[in-house]
Amino acid sequence: MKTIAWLVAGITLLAAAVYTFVSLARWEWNRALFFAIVFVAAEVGLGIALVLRRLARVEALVTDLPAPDPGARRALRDTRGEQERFAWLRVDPTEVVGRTNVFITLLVGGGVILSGGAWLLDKLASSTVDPRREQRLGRELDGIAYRPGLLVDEVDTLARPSLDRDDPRVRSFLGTTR
Amino acid sequence: MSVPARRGLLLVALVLGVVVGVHVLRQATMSTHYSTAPDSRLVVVIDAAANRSEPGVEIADMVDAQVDVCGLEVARVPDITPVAGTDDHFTVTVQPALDSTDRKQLRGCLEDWAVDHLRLEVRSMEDEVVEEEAGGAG
Repeated sequence: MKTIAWLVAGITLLAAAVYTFVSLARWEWNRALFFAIVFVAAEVGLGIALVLRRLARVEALVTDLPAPDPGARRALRDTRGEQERFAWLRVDPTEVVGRTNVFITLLVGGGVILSGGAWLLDKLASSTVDPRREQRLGRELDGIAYRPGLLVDEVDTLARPSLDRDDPRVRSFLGTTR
Repeated sequence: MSVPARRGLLLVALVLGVVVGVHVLRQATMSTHYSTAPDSRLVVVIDAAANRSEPGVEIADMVDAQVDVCGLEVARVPDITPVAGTDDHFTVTVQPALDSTDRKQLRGCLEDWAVDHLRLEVRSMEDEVVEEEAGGAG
């Protein structure tokens, strides 16, 4: 059924395009307009269908992804650094050449809209890109996570800032004496 | 044949095709007007078909309307006469005759969807010699 729908849409698009040019060549303006409208309608329909099909594929891919470790996500979220907002607006008062941002804001008068749009974009990016990136990083971290039964566990490792070579157990493990 | 040579050949063929295509399209679509003899006359026979036209509107009225509009397109005042014995065949005469581009334009206009519920089809388009003047000259 889908194949038939795609076929019909494709044939409609092609036929409308051909008839538009044929009508134009024959000086039939009203017919050309009609076929051009059919062409545009078929083109829009096909475009939307292609986008929806792609979205369905992406949705299926996302659904099949394994859920990231919630602990890793939490740790990443908690340690997320503060982002400096509107850094591009900050101007060094001693620098004259680089004041174009303020200049644009004042001259065009659309600086408010521009800033609002940038702020919105920034918020949107921080609420979509960061969690997404954290999810991906969480999944990657899962691959190098400690497995149970190792010689040195994560509690021991995390408790030490660096390897304590004076620890007799470590010296014994490394086979060194001093 | 090596790959670069094949690509070069393909490119040349492509450029040649585009040039020829543009030339053919230009010849097919370019308007070329020339003057015609004042005593020349073009007779166009059209078939008319009406579908669900408004009550009280005759097919001849609709044909009149469309042919008048098409006369404006080619800068002529067409003379319309119904073909004897029929009610959907008409003869449209324009004088002086039209050049080739105007003929295409007139045919396209007549066969276009200009008037609701009416469809015209051009049966023939022939030049006719004006008899009185031809006779006077002879």
